Amino acid sequence: MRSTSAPRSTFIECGRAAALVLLLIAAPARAKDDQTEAKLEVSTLLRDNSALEKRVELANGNEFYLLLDPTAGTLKLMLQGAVLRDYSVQGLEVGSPRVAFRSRDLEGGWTGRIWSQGNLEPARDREREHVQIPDSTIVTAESVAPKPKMPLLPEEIYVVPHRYHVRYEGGLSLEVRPMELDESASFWKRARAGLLAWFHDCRAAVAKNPEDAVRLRLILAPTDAASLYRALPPDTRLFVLPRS
Amino acid sequence: MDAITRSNAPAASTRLRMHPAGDRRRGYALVITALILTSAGTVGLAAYGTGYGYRAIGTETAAGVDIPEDPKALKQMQNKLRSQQRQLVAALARKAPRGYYIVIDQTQNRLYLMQDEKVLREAVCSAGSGLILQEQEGGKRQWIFDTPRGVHRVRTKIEDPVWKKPDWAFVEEGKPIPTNPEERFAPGELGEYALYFGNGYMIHGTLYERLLGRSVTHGCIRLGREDLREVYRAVDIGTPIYIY
Repeated sequence: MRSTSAPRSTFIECGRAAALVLLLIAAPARAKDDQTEAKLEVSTLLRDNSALEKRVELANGNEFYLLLDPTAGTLKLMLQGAVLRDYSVQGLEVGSPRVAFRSRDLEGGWTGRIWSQGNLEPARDREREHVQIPDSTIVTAESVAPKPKMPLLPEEIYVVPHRYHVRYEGGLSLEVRPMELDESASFWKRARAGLLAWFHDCRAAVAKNPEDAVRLRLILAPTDAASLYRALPPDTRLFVLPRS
Repeated sequence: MDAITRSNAPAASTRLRMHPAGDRRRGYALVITALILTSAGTVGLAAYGTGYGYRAIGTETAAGVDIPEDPKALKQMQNKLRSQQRQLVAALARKAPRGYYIVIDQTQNRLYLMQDEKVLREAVCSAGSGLILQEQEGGKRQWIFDTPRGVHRVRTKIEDPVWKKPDWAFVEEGKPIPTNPEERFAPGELGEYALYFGNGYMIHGTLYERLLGRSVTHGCIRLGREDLREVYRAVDIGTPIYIY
C-alpha cells in the first residue's frame, strides 16, 4: 500500500492558500458593499425621520390635517394623531403649469413640507338662516298651523362639483376629480366637464402668477370625492409622505 | 373632330390670358387661407400644450445632508438615526387614541364608533342645524346652533337623562323664560342615555327618529335608540370624541 497523505496535504494547503487569496480580494469589495448599504440606509432614515417629525408636529397641533401617502394610495383626514376618515386614492399625479408645451417650473420644494390654510374651491358655503320665532300671543288651531318644513339632507344642501380643489397657502393645491370613475355620468356631461376644466387650466397656466404653482391630482371614487367635499373642515393642513 | 379642336384651343388660351387680375386674387386668397389655417393650427397646438402637465410622483431621496464617508462615523450616524426613529414612532403612537373612540362627521350626520382605527359601528345621527336664534323684545343674546368641531371627551354618562331646558329653548318657542327652575325640566326628551361632553353638548337619543340624517339639532348629537345603546355600552368616561 502506497501512502497518499503527503500529496493530499499539499493539495489541501494549496486550496487553503487559494481561499485566503480569494478572501483577501473579496474583503474590500464586501466592505464597499456594506458601506453603500449603510449609506442607503442612512439616506432612507434621514428621509423617514424628517417625515415622522412632520407627522409628530401635525399630531401635536389643533388643526385638522390630511395625510397623503402615495405609496399606500391613501388619503387620511386626521386630528391629533387620530384617523377620522380614510379615503382610497385611485390615482395620483403631480402637475405644473405649462404654456405651449413649455413647463413653467414654479414648484421648487413642495415635498417634505407642511402646507396650511387649505380651503375648498368652490367653497362649501351655506347661508345661515334665522329661526322663525312663533308669536305666542296668537293662538292658532292645530289644523291651520303651518306644517314645519322638512330639513334638507346634506346631499341636497351641498352639491359636489365635478372637479374641485383644496387650495393651500403658498401655491399647492389638491385637485380632486371623481368623474373618471363615474360610470353613471353621460358622455356629453363628461365631455363638457373636461372641456371646461381644460379651458380653466389654460387660463390659469398663462396667468402671470398661476393660482397653483403645483397641483396634486387625486382620483377618488365618486362617493369618496363627494364625502371629502362635504366633510372637509376649513383651514386644514396637508402633508405628503415621501414615496419610498 | 378637327374643326372642334381648332375652335376650342384658342378659346382656352384666350380665357387664360384674359383674367390675370382674377388669378392674382385667387392666389392671394389661397395664401391668406393657408396663413389663416397655419396660424389657427399653431394656436390650436399651442393651446393644446397649455394648461397643466401631469406626471407620476417620483421617489424622493434625502437632500441637503452630508453622509460621512468614514465607516465609523457612518455607523454612529446610522445608530443615532435608528434611535431617533424609535423615539419618533413612539411619540406618534402616544398621540393616537387607543381603544374605543368616537368620530362624528357633523356635515354628513354620521357617527363612527372606532376601535384602534377600525370602524366598529357606523350610525346615522343628527348634528347642529347651523341656524341663528336672535332674542326678541329688547334682548341682545344670539345663539348659533353649531356642533363644535375638535376633540372632546366623554365627561359624564347618564341613564334616563332629564333635559334642563336652557333659555334658548324658551326663546325659540316664543315663550317667557321661567323664573321657577322646576319649569325647565323636560323628562324623556333625550332618550334612554346621554353622553355629556362639555359646554352643554351631549350625545343623546331622540323622540324624532325620522329626522336622523338631517342637521336639525341645537348642537347636540342625536342618535337612534339601538345605536345609542351600543355606543353607551362601549365607551367610558374619558373616551375621546372627534368631531369634524
